[in-house]
Amino acid sequence: MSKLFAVRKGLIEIISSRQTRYIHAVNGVDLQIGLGENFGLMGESGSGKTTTALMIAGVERPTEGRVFLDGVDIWRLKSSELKAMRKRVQMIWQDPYDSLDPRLDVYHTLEEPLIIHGIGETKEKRLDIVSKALQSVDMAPSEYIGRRPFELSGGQRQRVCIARALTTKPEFLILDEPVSMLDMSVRAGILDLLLELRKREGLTYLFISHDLAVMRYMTDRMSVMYLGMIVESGATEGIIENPMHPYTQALFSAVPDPRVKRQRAPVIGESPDLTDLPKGCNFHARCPRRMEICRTVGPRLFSATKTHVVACHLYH
Amino acid sequence: MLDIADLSVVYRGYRGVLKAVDKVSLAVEDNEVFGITGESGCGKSTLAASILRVLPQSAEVTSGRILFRGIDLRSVSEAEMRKIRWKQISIVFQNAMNALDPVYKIKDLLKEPLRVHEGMPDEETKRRVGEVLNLVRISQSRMDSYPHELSGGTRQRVMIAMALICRPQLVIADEFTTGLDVIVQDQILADIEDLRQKLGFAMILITHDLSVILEACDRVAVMYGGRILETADSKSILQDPRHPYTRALLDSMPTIRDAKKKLRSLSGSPPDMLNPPTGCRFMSRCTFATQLCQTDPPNLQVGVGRYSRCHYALDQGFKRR
Repeated sequence: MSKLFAVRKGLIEIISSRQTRYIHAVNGVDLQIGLGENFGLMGESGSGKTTTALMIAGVERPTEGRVFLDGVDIWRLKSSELKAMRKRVQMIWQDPYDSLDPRLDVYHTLEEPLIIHGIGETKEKRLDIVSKALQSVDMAPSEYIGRRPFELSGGQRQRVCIARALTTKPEFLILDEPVSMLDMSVRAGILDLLLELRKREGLTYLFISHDLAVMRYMTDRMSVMYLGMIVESGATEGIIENPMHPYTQALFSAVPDPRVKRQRAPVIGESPDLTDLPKGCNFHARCPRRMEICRTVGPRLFSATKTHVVACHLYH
Repeated sequence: MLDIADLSVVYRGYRGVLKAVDKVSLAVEDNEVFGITGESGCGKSTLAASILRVLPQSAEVTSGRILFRGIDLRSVSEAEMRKIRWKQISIVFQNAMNALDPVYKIKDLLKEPLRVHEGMPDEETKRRVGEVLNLVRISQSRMDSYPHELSGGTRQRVMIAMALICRPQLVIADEFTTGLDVIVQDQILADIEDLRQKLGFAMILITHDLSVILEACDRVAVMYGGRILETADSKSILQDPRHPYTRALLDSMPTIRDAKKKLRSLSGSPPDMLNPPTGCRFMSRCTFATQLCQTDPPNLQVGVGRYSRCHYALDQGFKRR
C-alpha cells in the first residue's frame, strides 16, 4: 500500500535592516497522509499551512526535513523526475480570480498542462480530455470551452481550476482554501463536487482551511496548526467533539452560531510576531489555561487517545 | 433615525447602466443593530456608500430618499454633509490594511477626523485620541506606530477608533471583520458591542457572513440583485424564513455544533445587473419558482416589521424540498 510521508521542518528567511531575522513559518511539522485519505490542515493566517502545502507540492524548498511521496524524497529528484511527479500532485488555490490567465479561454487553460506533460498527441485527443475534465466538474463543454475568465463567476472559475488539475490524472490534490473567496451559496456546490470527485477518481486530498465548519464537512482526519507547529491531530469528528488543545477550543468557541448561546473565545490578545516567537509553548501568552511550565518548555505531541494527539502540558 | 425609501443607485459605464441598488427601503432605529447581508454584487456596499454620499464618480442616485433624523441627506449641501459625516454617521471599512494611510502615525490618523469634522485645536485632540485608544483597547504606546507595524486586528481597531472618535450616532460597518482570524473577529465583535452599549450608537452591520449577522443583529435585511428580498428580526429569519433565497442561505451554512448535515447550494449565478430580469430577481435559481414569478413580486408584509419580496411569502415558509 502506498503512503505519503512528509517529514519536514522549515524556515523562511527575511532580511530586516542589516540583521537577518528568521520567520519560523513552519517549525518541525510531521504529517502522514495515507492513500485515498481526505486529510485536513486547519490554521489561521500565519499558521504556516500554506507554506507546508508548498513544501509538499515541491514548490517551496524546506530548510530542513524531507517530503516523501510513496517513499521517494521529492526534493532529491532530478528535474525530469520532478516534472513527472507534478502530474501526480496538483494544487487548487484560494483565489479563483488570480489562478487563471485572463488571456486564455477555458480550452487553452485546460490544454496547457497537457502540452507541458505531452499528454494527448493529437488535437482531437486533447479536446477529448479537456471535454471530459469539464464534464467531471459539471460544466457543459459546448457552453464553456470558448469562454474567458472574465465571463465566468467565482464558482465557475474554481471549477475550471479543478478541471485543469484533473487533466493530468493526478493522485493527490492539495487544496488551499478552495472556497473561502466564494459566496456562501456557491461553496457547498464546490465542496460537494470535490467530495464526489475524490470518491469517483480515488484521489487523496490535503484540504487546507481556516474554517472549522468547512473542515468538518470535508475531511476525515485533520491537524490544527498554530504559528508553524501542529498542536493537535486526529479524526476530524473526534476533534470537533472533543477539542483538547486550548487553541483548538478557542477556535471552536469563536465560531459564530446564532443557534446556540456560546461562550466567547477566552483568549487574550493576538498572535505574536513570527520573527519573535516566545520561549516555551507558542500559545502560552494567550492561553487561558497556562501553567508555569508552559513559559519555558515547548510541549511535544502526545497521544491522548489512540487516534488523537495533542501538544499541550495539560495532558501529560 | 435613518429612513431610506425607494433608493436606487446606478453606475454608468461604457457597457451600459448597472442598476446596483434598486428601490431599496429600510429603517434603522436608535441604538439598534441592523444587519444587511447578501453575496457579491448584491449592492450592499453601494447602499452603504450612498448613505454617506461617498459614491464614486460613476455612480448616481436616481431616486429615493435618505432621511437621517428628518434631514434629507440627498438634498443637503456638501458643506452640511461634511458636518454629518463622521460626526453623526461614520463608517468602518473592510481591509484596514488598505484603508489606513501608511505614511501617517496612528495618532495623526486619529486626529484627522477631529480636525476636519470638528475643527478641534491640536492640544485637545491629544486627549481625545488617548481616550478613544483606551476604548478600543489599544495600548497608548501604539500612538506613534505606523499602520504596517500593527497586526490586522489592531489595524481594524484603529479603524473602529477612527469611526468612533467623533461620537457618532450611527456607525456603518462594511465587512469590517472579513479577512480577520475567527478569534480576532470574535473579540472585535464583542468589543464593539460593549462600546455600543457604553456609548449608545446604532449600527448597520454589513457582511456576507450570515452567522455573524444573525448573532450580532437585532434585525436583518437580505439583499440580492440590488433589492432587499426579506427584512425581519434575526430570530424570525433563522426559524421562519419567508423567502427562498434566505432559506437557501441558511441551508448553505455548515455547522460545527449540530449534527453534521448535507449542505445545499445554489446553481447559476447572480443576475446581470446591466440587464436585470423583469420578473423576480431570484427566479432563475429558485427551486420554488412558478409561472407567477415572471411578474415582479410585491413587497409583502409578513408580520410586524417583517417583509418579503416573494409571491409565496405568506404561505407557511419554505421547507427544504
